[in-house]
Amino acid sequence: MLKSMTSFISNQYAAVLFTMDQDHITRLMWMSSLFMMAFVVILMPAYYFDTRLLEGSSVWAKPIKFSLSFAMHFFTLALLAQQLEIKLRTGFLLKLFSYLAVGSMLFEIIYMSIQSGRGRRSHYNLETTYEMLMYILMGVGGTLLVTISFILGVMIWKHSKSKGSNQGLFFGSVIGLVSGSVLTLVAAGYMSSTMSHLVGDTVNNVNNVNSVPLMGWSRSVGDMRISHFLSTHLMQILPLIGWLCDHYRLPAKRVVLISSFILISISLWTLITALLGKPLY
Amino acid sequence: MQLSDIYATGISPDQWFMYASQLAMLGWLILIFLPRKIKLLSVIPQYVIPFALSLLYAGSALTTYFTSEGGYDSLMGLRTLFESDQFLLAGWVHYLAFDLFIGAWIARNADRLSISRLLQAPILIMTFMFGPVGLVLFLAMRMVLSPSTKESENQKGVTHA
Repeated sequence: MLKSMTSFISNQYAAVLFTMDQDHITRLMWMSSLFMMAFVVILMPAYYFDTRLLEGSSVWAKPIKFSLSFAMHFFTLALLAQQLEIKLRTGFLLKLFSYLAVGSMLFEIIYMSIQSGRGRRSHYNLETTYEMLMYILMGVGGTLLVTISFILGVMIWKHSKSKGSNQGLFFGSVIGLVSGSVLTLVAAGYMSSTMSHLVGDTVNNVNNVNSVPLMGWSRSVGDMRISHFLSTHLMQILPLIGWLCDHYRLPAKRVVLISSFILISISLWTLITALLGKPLY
Repeated sequence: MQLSDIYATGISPDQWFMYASQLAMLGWLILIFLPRKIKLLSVIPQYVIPFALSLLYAGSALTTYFTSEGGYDSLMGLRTLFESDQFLLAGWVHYLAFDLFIGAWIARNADRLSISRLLQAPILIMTFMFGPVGLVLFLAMRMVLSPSTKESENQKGVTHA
């Protein structure tokens, strides 16, 4: 009875390509993802009512963008963690870093939203002692958010149960999570060390007039956020490519390795372009 | 002696405000921090405190509404209504009672959906600070789960390893 019940529940998630277990770590990540999606819902009215701008875009643009990417991050973690045996997934290491990551996510999005409401910057803000302290804590939070994906990548590499059967998903997950976490840390770390995501003549570009639609990346000077974006989403793109290879019976290992090489190169290239102070186009 | 001084057994609206706020705060602290396994602890924020606050609302709203120039028909009317401290108190107590009731409802349903207490905390704090915002946050999360999922999860589908 109980067994048929649990399989019935897992079937509920068949629509999202994978089935998910119902252990509390999967649940924590999946609910964190839902929480962030719901957060977008409550930020949208504020976005439409508020006419205040910060560096050329709505004060609410930043928490909305971060909510969406946190939602994607935790959904990815929940799905990819399914490759581990339930015992490992709910083991001490992943449990500790999952809770730390969810705590960091909550801290980041709540502080960011409060700062948006006050019409003040959250990143690179050293104007008051409080804001400086919070900015440092955001750095800690950000690091913890990629620590969990790095650890998950390494754990899948060592203990995946689908190593033999789903090679594409296996290689995509390991390379995607590990390289995505490391490259994100590099890009974000550089930005925080120079106190700006822009490189070049930033004085004449304060309001970010000439920028890529929706994303807001600069088209006049170098912008580190492009590389940050590509690096971070390696965590989704590579496992997806791998999964598609498994599904359509393509030479999974080869396709994943080649696409990893191409995508990591592109993200490094955008990093170097930005460091040279050049816009993408 | 002014009406506000003799109002409700000599306790001023200011004092009532303090008592009501502290009572509501107690309910929120229970909801956010204390374990849910003890039945009594969920009855207090869900029923006992909202019930008591609603009685206070009845006392302050019913005694002032009908003698006020204002009404619910326009923003101007509302402003006139809330010019009196008694009605301002009633309005605030209304928030306190309903927000806490909704908060307790969210907590109960979130438990059924096995939403971690770590994630419940910000939803509840949001409901405490900006009532409807917290409600929308929870309803939007819940919306994504299909009805059949919700039902089966009611019967402890989640394995706690």
